[in-house]
Amino acid sequence: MFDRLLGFRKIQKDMEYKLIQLSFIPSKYFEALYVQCGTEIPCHTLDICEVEEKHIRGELLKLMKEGQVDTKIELEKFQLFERINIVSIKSKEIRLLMDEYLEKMNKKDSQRLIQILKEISIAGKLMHYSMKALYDNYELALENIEELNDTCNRIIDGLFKFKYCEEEGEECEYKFDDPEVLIGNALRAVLHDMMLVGDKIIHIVKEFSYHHDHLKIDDKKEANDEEKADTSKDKRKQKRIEKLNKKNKKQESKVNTD
Amino acid sequence: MVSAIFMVIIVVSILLAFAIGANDETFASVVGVKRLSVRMAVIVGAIIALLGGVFLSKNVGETLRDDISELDMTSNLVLISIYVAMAISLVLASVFGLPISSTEAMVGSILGISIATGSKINWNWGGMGHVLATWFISPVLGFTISFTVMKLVNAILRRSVKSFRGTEKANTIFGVLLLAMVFMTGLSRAGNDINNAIAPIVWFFEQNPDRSWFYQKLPFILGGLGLGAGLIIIGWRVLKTLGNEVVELTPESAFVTEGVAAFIVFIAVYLGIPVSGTLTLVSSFVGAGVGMKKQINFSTLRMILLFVFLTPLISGLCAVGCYFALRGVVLT
Repeated sequence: MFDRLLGFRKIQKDMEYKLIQLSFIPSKYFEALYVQCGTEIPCHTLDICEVEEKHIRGELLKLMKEGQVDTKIELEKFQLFERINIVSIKSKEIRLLMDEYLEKMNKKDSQRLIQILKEISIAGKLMHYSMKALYDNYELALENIEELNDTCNRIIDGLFKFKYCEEEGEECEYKFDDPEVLIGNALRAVLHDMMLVGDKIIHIVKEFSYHHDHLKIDDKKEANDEEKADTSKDKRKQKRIEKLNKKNKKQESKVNTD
Repeated sequence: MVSAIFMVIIVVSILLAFAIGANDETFASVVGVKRLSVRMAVIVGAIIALLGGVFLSKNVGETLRDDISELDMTSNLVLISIYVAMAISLVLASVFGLPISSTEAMVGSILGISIATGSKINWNWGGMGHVLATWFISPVLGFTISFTVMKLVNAILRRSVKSFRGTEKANTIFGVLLLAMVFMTGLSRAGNDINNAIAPIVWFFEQNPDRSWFYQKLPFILGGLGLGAGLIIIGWRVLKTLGNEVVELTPESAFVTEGVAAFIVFIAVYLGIPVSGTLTLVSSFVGAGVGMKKQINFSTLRMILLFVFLTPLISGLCAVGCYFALRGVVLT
């Protein structure tokens, strides 16, 4: 009861700590995966990260249940937590794919993929910094997310080249069961999920910062413009349909008179 | 020996306390920011109503507005009719989850009976002019001051809060301040409301000063219980509407809403400016919402405004019906 009256402040503090911890795991995980794949020595950090992630996730869920009040802040934080979770889940998928297919790939491709793992680890770190900055400084969080998006887009761009085209410029081949395609798609999905974490942080900044009203206004303008565009399209369609109907009627009446 | 008519007055007084409790919107802001659930809010509100009734209600002064008409307010028939009409209006509005002003209901009842019995209505400033001014001044003051204060609070927060941690801290601080404010308002309102409801029966219990404390306080306890029961049984609807369906509240806007409403009522009473607590609070909700650039739910607001205009009419008609029905019974 006392906690409730104080707005669950203690729970909020614990959640802040755990969320920041959770956001750091993907970076550590990809770093460890990079080391394992690069050296071919089993890296226990991966297992430790998985256990840590499970533990933190459990604790966060417990905290969220304890402090459940259904305010907008709580809902947004839960959604943020879910998005970070998805990144962790997809990271585990990549580990499985790497374990299964890395040996079947040619050396050159595997080396490139391993290098991408290192880059994703850096993107993960940026996601973690954005998360940390959200709690420290909204402005810094936005800057970090911009950097995160740039990094992710750059890696995705590299993946795109890696996946589709031969170096000699021959025609691109695309088979869904190719190890390169499977791993490439999984990596791209993780990067997209990291960007979605960034999007959620931007949304939180827009929603709860007292400084960023201009971002909300921009959003509203965009939404209004889209609505206007949609309505004008609808009107044009309606006019076309009306014209067609009129033409049909005229033709019918001509046929009848004939 | 207690006469039958006095027993009726006791029942009607408790009924009015119940109706006032059913339309008590004090805890709406706390429900709006989810600091208390609706269930918890009505239980806490009921306890506060009982405490406020027992410990803060004092000897009753002016109860019915005898300055707006030449109607004989000392008549039991008039008193019962007005109380029943007020109770019906308040319960009816509460069933729809709409907050209305009990003063409005009272004035409507008095006007209804006055017109029906041909009593002269005092339209000058000392009478109805004062009441009508209340209905215009309250929303204007509530909206304007709440909007201005909200802008000011926003400016302060813009300077001091620069992170999500800061936002959460600000929410906690404003949430605690809001709770303290609401508890205090709840206590004082309960004291005042119970006074209004049980005014006609207090004298009977004060006749014997030698009786126990419990006996002396019995009408206040009955009033408090009635108020609490009203809040628990029907009052949750009003809390839900005002707390969740007019405007999206944040702890700071809820605090501004409650704080401004309490401040206006306090200052207005002190300066002798006529204001209505309910109208001030509702308009404060809207003012703070606009100040926060939040979307206002106009359909709910329209319903509240509709009932604001309908309340005097409904209570007036009910009072007239009740008055003539009772008079028929007494005459036969």
